[in-house]
Amino acid sequence: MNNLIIHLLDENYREEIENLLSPPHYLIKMTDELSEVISLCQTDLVDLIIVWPANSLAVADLQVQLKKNQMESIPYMAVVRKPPLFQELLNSRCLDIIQIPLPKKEFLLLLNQNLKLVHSPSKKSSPDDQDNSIESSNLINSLNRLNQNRENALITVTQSGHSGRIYVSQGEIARANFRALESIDALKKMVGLLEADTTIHLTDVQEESDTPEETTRVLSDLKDFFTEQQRYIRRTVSDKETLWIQDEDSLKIYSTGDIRRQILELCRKGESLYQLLMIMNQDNLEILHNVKELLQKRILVAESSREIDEKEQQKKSILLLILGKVGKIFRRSHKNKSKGEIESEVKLEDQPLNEDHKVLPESIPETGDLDSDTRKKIDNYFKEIGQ
Amino acid sequence: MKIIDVLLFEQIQGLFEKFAQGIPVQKVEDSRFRVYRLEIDPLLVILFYLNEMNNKMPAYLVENIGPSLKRIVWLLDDQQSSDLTTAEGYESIIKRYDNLIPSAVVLRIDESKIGRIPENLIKKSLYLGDHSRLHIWNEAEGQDSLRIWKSIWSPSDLPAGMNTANSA
Repeated sequence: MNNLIIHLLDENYREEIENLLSPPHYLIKMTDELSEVISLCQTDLVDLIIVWPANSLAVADLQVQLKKNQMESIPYMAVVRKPPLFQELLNSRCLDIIQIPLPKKEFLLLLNQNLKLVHSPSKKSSPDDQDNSIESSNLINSLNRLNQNRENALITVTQSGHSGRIYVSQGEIARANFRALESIDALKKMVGLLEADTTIHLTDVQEESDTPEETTRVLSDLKDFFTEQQRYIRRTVSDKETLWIQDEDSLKIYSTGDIRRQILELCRKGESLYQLLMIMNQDNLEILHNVKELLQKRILVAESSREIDEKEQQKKSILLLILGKVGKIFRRSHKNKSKGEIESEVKLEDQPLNEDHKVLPESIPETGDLDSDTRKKIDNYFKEIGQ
Repeated sequence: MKIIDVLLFEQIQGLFEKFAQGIPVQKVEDSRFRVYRLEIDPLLVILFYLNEMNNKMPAYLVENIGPSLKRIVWLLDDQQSSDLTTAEGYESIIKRYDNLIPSAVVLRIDESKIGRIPENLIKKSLYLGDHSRLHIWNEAEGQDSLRIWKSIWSPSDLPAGMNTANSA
């Protein structure tokens, strides 16, 4: 059974909700007090909070209170009556926004889809994961909703000054463009943008379709594409991490026009993966495939491993420097000389640095050998200390 | 009483005191040099004559200990590697003594800064010359210095060419 808390902001919906969400599938508790919502969350195992009917202020208050009470992991969704509220809440952390009126069957379908996500471990762990999760892309979700509601809309997708548009007519994607990209290529690029701002204008669309395929099929393909992209990123490198070209000479390996050459050119001054995906016009999966190859060949390096490499190199070089210097000093002096030779050298090279200091000794020791008795005594002494 | 003289150069002051932690060396207060005394038994004493590598060594010190000099110990610190050129000022000492007096170059390392050192380098020491070895002293390993104290008096029979710092 799904344990739901309804933050009821209009009593007129009480009866309807009770009829709609009844046992055995749903166990609901309704309250119009936010403090009671929080209190219920503290005492119950809550699967989902639904703000019904939602407004941006109520959702924001709920978000703040959940955070304040360290219950950010509890998901919440909004049921809205008016399209402008749908848009207002798009950038909130709502798991989903359902616009009513909606046939009962469709409403339950959407609700159950969301509950399914809630019950998957990766989804429930943190709402922050939602944006980058494999299953969700805000844009795909929005397109899905528009498709289900058979609505007209103009969607604008913007990231770092790069923008694209999607025209939706009666729920069907009529046209899409992103920079010079059109149709499915533009849709893929926009879906793959990880930090894009998306705005939806519910308006009449007079665009001729350039996407011959059915929107449901396109959305399914986009979802698969997005899932694959996120998998690739997880296996490759953090999307925020800066990538660097290891060696300028490696640019010569690839001809102009080769996608790998373009990636390397862009990473000369460091570039993050998500910026690469945004800037480059090629298919994101193709970009990721090549980035992965370049990382494996260590032609491209991630910031973190670059720092490690530099530190390791520095560490190695310190030791080699010391060994080299010590070795050099001994190598220069390591010649077989007799005591007589050394004594004559001393006489010839008796060069005091000044009256008080001179490096060379007047007398030369006989030998450094220790007699066996002395050595034995010393050995035993240190053995005893070690015990 | 038998006295063994050891000439000891430290790259930074205080290195010997750390190297001798756990060894009952005693500072000889009334000496005009920095001298430490280690009594092996009532009839055998080792005297360590300390010099900082950055300072010029007084000639009268060498004259004083010359005939009974049995070991030369160099205490180096990995973090001072850039100053190691100073050691070249002592090259003449090595030049003259290397074939007669066993030398031990003890390099203090901090693995957290210098990286993990292969165990065989630490345990076996490195060949510098027939009578000279380089010992790596990992101060973080409690009794690591004791291992070196033991081997200073009986240089290992490391075959020439193996683990040779001269080939570095």
